[in-house]
Amino acid sequence: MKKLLLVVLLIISLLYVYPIIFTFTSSFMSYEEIMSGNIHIIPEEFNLQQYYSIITFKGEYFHYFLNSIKLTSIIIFGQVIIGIFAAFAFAKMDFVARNLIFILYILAILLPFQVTLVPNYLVFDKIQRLINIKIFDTHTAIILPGIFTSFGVILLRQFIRNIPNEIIETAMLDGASYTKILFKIVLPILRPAIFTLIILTFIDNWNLVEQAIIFLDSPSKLPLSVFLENIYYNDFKVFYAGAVLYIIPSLILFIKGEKYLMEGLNIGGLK
Amino acid sequence: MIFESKKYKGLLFILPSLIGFGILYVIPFFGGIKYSVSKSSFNSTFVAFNNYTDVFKNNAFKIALKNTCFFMIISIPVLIVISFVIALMIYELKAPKIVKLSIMLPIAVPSGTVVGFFKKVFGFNGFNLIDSEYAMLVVILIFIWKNTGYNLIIYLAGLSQMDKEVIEASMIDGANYFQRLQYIIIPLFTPINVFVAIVTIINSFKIFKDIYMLQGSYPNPKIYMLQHYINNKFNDLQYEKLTSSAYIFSLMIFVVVFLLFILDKKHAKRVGGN
Repeated sequence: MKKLLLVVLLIISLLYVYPIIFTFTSSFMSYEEIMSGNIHIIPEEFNLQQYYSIITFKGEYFHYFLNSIKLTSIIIFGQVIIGIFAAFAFAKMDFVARNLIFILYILAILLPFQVTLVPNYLVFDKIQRLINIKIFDTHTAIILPGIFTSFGVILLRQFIRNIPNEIIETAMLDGASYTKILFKIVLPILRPAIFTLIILTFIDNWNLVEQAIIFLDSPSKLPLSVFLENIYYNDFKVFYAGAVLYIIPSLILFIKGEKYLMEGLNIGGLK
Repeated sequence: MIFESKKYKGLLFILPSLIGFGILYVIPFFGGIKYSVSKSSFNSTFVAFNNYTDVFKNNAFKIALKNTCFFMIISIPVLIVISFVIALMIYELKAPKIVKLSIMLPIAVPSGTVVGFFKKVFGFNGFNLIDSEYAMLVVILIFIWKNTGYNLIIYLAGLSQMDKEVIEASMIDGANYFQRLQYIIIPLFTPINVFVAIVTIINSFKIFKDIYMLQGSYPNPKIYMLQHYINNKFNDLQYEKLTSSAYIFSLMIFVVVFLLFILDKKHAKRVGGN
């Protein structure tokens, strides 16, 4: 019985990786084999034509790749830095209307992106006119809401709350400031949570779609996550190689950081 | 919380986040209400709830609402059950790590990279599910494929923290596996289930990415979702329709999540009362 169930489980896990394997093996097929249209997973012969073509002829591919890297890395950086301070304040400090503000933060992650879309657009419009900088059709329009999503704050707060108050109180008695406590005591404990936040924010923004199709008008500014659609329709013979190159950073980060996710996402917890 | 005297310091720490969050999320959310009760994007005459009632009469909205509800009602419970069963199997059978990793891997796969696969398997001539009236089935499959991993992480973390003694005691009492599941494990998992349900609801909005990458802004009407409707109203500059439908969408979500919280509270009370 146990053996049978284990086999079932193995088959299930194979089904989950199948689309990924299919995409990988298809990237080693020749143009003719890709365009032939029949479904098969093993290439007739191992062929690097697609990769060669992307690297030598399709410089624009890397232009979009860089757009994705730029957007993702700035958003991660901003969200982590701002999130650490805010999460510490929510977890261990007192200020006016703290609980009420935190409820707003929680409600905000429950909302689909589209809900704050237009109002967001109008706020950008006001800012643009007020201080005369261009926001529409620039990466700023994506980066700003990305940095200030409440997800990171909530995730890190749950973690900091578990740090015993006594540790912080003792440090305070020794004359340490909040800033010092945050950097010397909290941050080292917070590492798995920060890695979790980095991984999840990376995955989310590496797959950025909604914001880009609304806020960016110039095709050249699109991240690769959206531009892949264009490759699919206009340059299908190199699509799979393009897809694989785009999956790889995400997969590596995920496999490397999976153990942190187990720790970092465990906020529900059995009480 | 700890040192009352340093109240202003807390504000200092929260300020950068609060300014951005306020300007980009809170103000827009409440600011949108004005548009939802205005005659149009360019005419702010007060029309009370006319836009809300108009939206409900609109065919595209009705289809979008129906599809979104159908998708959520089917896919969320199915995903939760599937991920719980898989988590139990992995835990009880002490499955090799590669099993867990394989099921989690789709989390890291951007929507656009697998359209090649999904279009080929579900969209080729002769067996074209994506353009058929069963397109929602494909969407639900993609959703389950992509999101089992998240829930699996949470469930496996929960299982590893489970009190072994309770389980062993029940085994001595002669309870079989399904009795143990029904009377011990599942009740014990109520708070985790609530958390998983909320995470699943949040992740269910992201299905738009996959549908968009498969079929763009105007997909098969069978998989035309509220997010498509809202985006398209944006492009048509019909902000009053957009905001009113967005608030209807938000209200639906808030109600469901609120009910889940009540369930969680009830459970906590029951456990505390014993």
